[in-house]
Amino acid sequence: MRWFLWELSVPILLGSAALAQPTPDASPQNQLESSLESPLKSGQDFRIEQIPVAGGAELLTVIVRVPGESAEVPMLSVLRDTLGDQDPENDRLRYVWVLSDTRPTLLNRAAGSLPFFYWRTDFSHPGAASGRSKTGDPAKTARRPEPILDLGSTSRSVWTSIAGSLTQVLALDPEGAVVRSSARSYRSNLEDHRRVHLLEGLALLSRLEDIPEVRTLLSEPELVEMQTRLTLAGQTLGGLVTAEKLPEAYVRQRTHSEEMRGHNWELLRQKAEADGLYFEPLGFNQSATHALLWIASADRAERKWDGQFLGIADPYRDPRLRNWTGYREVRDGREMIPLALYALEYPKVPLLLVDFRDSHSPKRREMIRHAATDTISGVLGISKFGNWPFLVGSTAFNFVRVRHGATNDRGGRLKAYSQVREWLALDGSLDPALRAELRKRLEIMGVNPMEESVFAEAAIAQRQYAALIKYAQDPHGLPARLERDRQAELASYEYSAGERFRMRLAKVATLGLYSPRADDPRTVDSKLDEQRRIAKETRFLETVAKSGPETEVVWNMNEVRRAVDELAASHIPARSAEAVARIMRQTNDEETRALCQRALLNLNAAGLE
Amino acid sequence: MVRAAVAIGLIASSPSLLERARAQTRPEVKRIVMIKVDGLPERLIERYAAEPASGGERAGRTRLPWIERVFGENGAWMENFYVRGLSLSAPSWSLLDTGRHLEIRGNAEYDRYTLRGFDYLNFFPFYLGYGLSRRADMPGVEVLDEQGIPLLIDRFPYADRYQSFQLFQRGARLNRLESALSVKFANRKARDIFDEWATGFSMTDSVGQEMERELLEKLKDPRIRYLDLYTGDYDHVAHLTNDRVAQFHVIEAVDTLIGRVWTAIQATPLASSTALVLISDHGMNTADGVYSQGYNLIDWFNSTAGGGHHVLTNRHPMTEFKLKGLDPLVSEVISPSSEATYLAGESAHYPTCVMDLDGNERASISLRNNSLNVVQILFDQLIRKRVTRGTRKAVIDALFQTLDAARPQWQGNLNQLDAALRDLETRVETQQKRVDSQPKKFTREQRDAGEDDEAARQFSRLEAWKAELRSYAAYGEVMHRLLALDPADFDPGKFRIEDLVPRKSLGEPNSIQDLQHYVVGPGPSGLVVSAQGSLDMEKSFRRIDYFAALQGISVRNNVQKDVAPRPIDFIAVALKSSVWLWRGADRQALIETRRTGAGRLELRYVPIARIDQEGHYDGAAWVAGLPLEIFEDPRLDVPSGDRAAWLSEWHDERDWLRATHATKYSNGIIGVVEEMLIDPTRQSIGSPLLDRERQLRRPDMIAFASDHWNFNVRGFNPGGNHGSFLRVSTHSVLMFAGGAATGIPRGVRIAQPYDSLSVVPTILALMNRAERDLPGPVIEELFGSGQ
Repeated sequence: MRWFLWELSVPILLGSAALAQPTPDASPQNQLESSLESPLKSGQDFRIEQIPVAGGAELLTVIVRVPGESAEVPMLSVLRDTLGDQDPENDRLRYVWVLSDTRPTLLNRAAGSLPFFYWRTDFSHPGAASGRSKTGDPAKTARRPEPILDLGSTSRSVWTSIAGSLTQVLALDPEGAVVRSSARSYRSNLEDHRRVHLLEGLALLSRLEDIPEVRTLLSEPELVEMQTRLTLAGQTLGGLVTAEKLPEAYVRQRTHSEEMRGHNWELLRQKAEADGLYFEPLGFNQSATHALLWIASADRAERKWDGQFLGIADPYRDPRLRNWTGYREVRDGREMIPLALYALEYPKVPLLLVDFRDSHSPKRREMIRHAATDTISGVLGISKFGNWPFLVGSTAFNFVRVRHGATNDRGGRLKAYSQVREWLALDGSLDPALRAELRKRLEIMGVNPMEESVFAEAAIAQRQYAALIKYAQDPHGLPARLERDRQAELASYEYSAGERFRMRLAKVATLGLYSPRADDPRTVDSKLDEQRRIAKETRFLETVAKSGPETEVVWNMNEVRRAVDELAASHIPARSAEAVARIMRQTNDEETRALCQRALLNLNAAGLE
Repeated sequence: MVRAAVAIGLIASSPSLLERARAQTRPEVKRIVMIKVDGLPERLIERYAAEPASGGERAGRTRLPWIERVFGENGAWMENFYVRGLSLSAPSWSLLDTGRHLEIRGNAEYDRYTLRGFDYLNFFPFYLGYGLSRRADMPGVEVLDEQGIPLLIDRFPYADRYQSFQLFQRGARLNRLESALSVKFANRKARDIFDEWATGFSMTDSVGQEMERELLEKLKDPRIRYLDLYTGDYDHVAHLTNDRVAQFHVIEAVDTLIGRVWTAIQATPLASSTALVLISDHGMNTADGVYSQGYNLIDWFNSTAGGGHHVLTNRHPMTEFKLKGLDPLVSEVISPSSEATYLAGESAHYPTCVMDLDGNERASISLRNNSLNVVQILFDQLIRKRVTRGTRKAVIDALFQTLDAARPQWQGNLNQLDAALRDLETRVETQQKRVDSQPKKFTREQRDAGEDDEAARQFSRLEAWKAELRSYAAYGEVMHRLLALDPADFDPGKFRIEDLVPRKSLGEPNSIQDLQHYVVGPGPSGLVVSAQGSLDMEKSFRRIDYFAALQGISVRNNVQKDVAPRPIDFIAVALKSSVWLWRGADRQALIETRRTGAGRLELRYVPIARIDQEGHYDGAAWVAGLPLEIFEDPRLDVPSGDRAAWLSEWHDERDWLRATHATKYSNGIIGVVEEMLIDPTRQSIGSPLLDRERQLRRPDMIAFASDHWNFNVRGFNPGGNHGSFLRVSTHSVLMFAGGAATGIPRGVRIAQPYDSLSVVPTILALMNRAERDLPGPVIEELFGSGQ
């Protein structure tokens, strides 16, 4: 691992200040031929609200002025456990709430368990539309929102998911087609529901990167951690990735996303050019995540058309366009008709999200894909992993289809869907009528019965935030949960994973009669303070050790010595000894070598004792 | 007497004593280690090496601490080092690896007569051939060998050198690939492997890691005097994304690599006499917030506006969307035109346009000889009996008039080709005997000495010669038949088209006039006979002026304010001793060359209004907007205030480089001459065919892309591109650092501009092995005043 990763991508989020490229190559003589210049300017207004939580924590909430909404909308909250002090060195992020994410109601869940049911239901929570209860208090109508991610225990969701899959395969699948397909539909819809909101959170966070006000309250490492964890949480085993790997994972993800966007931007622009259409990239902060294709009314004379990758009908031979009554704009004296909206952040090809001439077309495709999956795995009970001819056949079929540009990546489609919801909700630079038109069509696209309406999201978020504040202010609510989390965190430092597992097993086996000894609440904070500092210094020294030869070329040796010193003072833990020994070998700095030697001697002495 | 003898002896021996004493005290590089980074731009290294690292943990360090430490503080940093010629990998590395003028002028080249492809970037056929003991070198090295141009590594005995995977590679250690797997997994914790798997596994990384491991291992062997390590990671990433974080991540990997290699060097006994060189072959036109826009020239040449050509390239357009795109051995792809006229359905046999688009900021374009087009159209009409009895004579007359006009040149070249083929036949026989006498099996010692590679090299050469012999002979046979036609007894019914017009051949090069009046098919009314009974050559054919047509290309979807709507910046065509640059009817220029009495090359830039094939021209006034935009560039550095006067004079290359290197197109004036006119000198005498082959690989014209445009068709390169003369693409990295005994100065920033030709002579001079016949100047600043 390189030091870059310690800095948590130093520049990753520094945007303009650190890594922003100069623009020396701009050609002033260049002229625009088309007026469809990218309006990549965000009209939204972000701020972060900071609410203290009893017991030494704070709730940070990203609040957005949403176009078309009279009130601001809270979008995402995160709990930072500060241990009640002002020192950021021992802070730790804990829970992330995407506030538009609600727990599905019973009726939603029932609908979600119906195989081949691909329509969004309106069994929404009371007050969802307005965000107000009959009494006018939104908090009263909302249940306590569940965090979408626990940054302190990311592996938990992995084990839960694995347990669910095992239950499905071992217990439910053998019970016949009805149980199997219902259970699979339910789990699949629930998982999709969670992922949509994970990705909405991710889309929002990626918008915050370049906003200085945000960086004053959320540090770069914190933003990187949240973004990477949100992405990894959407992968089956992503929650098991260690914290040390997060910065590198972040860079990989970012690179991949940027490559996809650039690739599809170019593909769509060239396709538009070849087909005589107009291409308009759209998105926040100079970053095109979506694109619209337009046709000029005057260009509707028949011409050559190649619809590959576009997924829309030939507009030059389409009678619907001759008498078009839908949305249109006049630009540069030309009447323009929108044809389709695409997501650019999708592997290999732009993903069709909205077809203005056939609003149900994208949904039909999505339903067909879902139906194929539900039939094969749900009704017929055919699994790739238990049927190698099917595995080979489907892999080959999908390979060929994807090679030719088919949009088979369900995760990618969900991501695109989440991004467009987020973008349409927040981007005020779009013409309001066009925005409304797009949202209306996007609403049609929903295939998950557990999903909320895009139009209700603002109200839901306001309601959920009110409930979250209430929960945070309730001494038996979030503060109590925080206390339990701290106990668990301390146990993770003091006991090995095996010991913790045995203790948990004993508790379950004795029906709770046995309970592991809890630390004295009065000393938990000070112990955690020490452990978190040790963990941080250890991680720092591990990064230093892995960064290569001659430590002093790359690192400020005062900081390295301070870290070694601090660890030595804390009875240097065995896990950091390897790093300290390696640094000692790699540095030519005599003072550091002597310090490392002393620290290691202390460790050996402690070990002998 | 004795004293006198001693005195005489001392005097006699004094020069050698002095020489020996000087040799003992003169600094000398005994070992050279080169880190070759494809596409690494100097401006980014400069910038990041100057920027402080963030965070207290790295206070006082820069973002690239190792580069700053090794080269900034303890070495020599070339601030103005440029690619000479096109900013493309294959030509650029060929210059850097040989120190001689360009022999390889594109990433892919084609022989006009036979359409034989030279695919310099495709390493799969090489590995396959190497595995089968049928090849020993990458295609670029084979071409250089054929022309008698040695690589830098050839100065070192086989056992004394270590070469990593790269474009100009001799031999291959295929066991590296399997070692790469063990590097990936050996000595790693399961946890690390899981993390990497979960976040994205990359085998490419592991090949790089294995090569680095090998290099570090070889450094321990004091016999090895030349080592290099090549990485293409930056180029790869920068083509795909302009994201600053993604690009910095790769640049930082280079920095850490430098740290590991430098530290390993310091641990060797040869540390004090080892030099480390960091070098890149070109820059990268990449800018955060601006996507590089592609324009598909294949589609354009396929279209009616472009002439309805069947186009031959070395890769499938949109490779990633085709199953055929998975074929790693492909080097020839024909994109048929659905709008072709007289060649409709003949794409497999008669591609009439050949392009090298790799590198992307330029396209090297060759079109079939214009007269061959006329001949084929007329034959087509005659053989298929599409002409009426009344027009038949006019058509036959026109056919023979066309042949008669072309005959002197064509016949002359055919005669030369025949002579060259006779010579080649003799060489094939000799080579066959040599190959037959080679051992078929090799001992371990023989393999360690490279004898197996040498045997494969000789075999590969024999096969290449045989193939050349066959293909040239086939071409010659058809052309002889064509030229032997006699109007007196010409009966079109006795022939098939392919008997008279060679398939898969472009024939002789086109002239400027040909390209301005290029025949792409019969006219809209078919063949037209004039009142005088002769064929109306203007009305009978549809013609295209390719300069105006290419320049006129414009797009409607131009959504970035910093990007112009016209993809093509200017077009360059080689004349006898000058290069014609076209940017529009009122924006033309000629770069003239001449040799002084001492053999020094001088160049002159002349704005012109019009020109003929012989190079006769009408001059024009200096105005802004001429090709290369030198006149108006504020960074042009001329000694006197009168720009027009200075620019209108003859200057040698050094003067031009000093004056123009900081301008928008940097050393474009030298680069375009290098690319289109200058030939390298050979170290050995080869076949007479070699000169002809060299000429046959040259394109008719090169179209250069406007800023932030590219001609990539394989896929998309929105991140950035190179290939042009834009400074952002030519400005490259060259840095030296060495131990105390190397004499390489420390902490020196060299602002004086140099180009690729200086690298090999400088390295050889550092090693006290200077070669006088190398054309490039040594970088004097590395030697203080004493060299």
